[in-house]
Amino acid sequence: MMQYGLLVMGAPYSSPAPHSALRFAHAVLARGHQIAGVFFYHDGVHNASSLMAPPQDELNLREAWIELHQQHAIQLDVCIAAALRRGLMSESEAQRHGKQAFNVAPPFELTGLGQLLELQQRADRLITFA
Amino acid sequence: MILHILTKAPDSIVATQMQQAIGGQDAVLLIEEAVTAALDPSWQAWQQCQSRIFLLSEDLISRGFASIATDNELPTLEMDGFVALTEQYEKTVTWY
Repeated sequence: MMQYGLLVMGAPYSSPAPHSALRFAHAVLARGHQIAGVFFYHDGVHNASSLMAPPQDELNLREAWIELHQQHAIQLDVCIAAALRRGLMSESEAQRHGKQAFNVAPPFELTGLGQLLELQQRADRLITFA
Repeated sequence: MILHILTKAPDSIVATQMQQAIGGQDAVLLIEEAVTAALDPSWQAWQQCQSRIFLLSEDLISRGFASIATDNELPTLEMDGFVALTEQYEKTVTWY
């Protein structure tokens, strides 16, 4: 049994990367491994947007990540610097920046790049989807 | 020993860069847009990495290339096989 870390750098619906990462995550778990965490970086931060509203007959990637978190207690970290630049923020960040809305909520957590390094150290394998 | 994951078409710049970086013991997995390599059995990497290069079958199927890969006798892997490769190869590099 190994620990896997996933780095997701593509935005949903514009890049196939998040969907590949999600399918890979399920295959990792099916082979009896664990996922130490998922880190969303660059355009990958868009996976965390609670305002995404795809048609109901399409996969909602944010909900799919949340389901993965709920079933396997997998940490979902979002790079705060990449997120703020792209208009993704939590309630507390929205207050700090004087914004009227927020779109990042638990189980997604805004964190720094240090978390990515920590994930890399904790995981036996770090696989990038970009 | 490195697993190279190519996400872009075989005629892309990153594909060329990857081909230059592949070591003698390395393996290659073609995913996403890279599965268009199934259309070109004369692509140099097929020879270069014989028996250590694979197409991800789910991505072939979603693009309608599954039968082309079979006709061209190119090796494919399921998602489960992708994970198995990452078990085998300690380091992976994603080319995008």
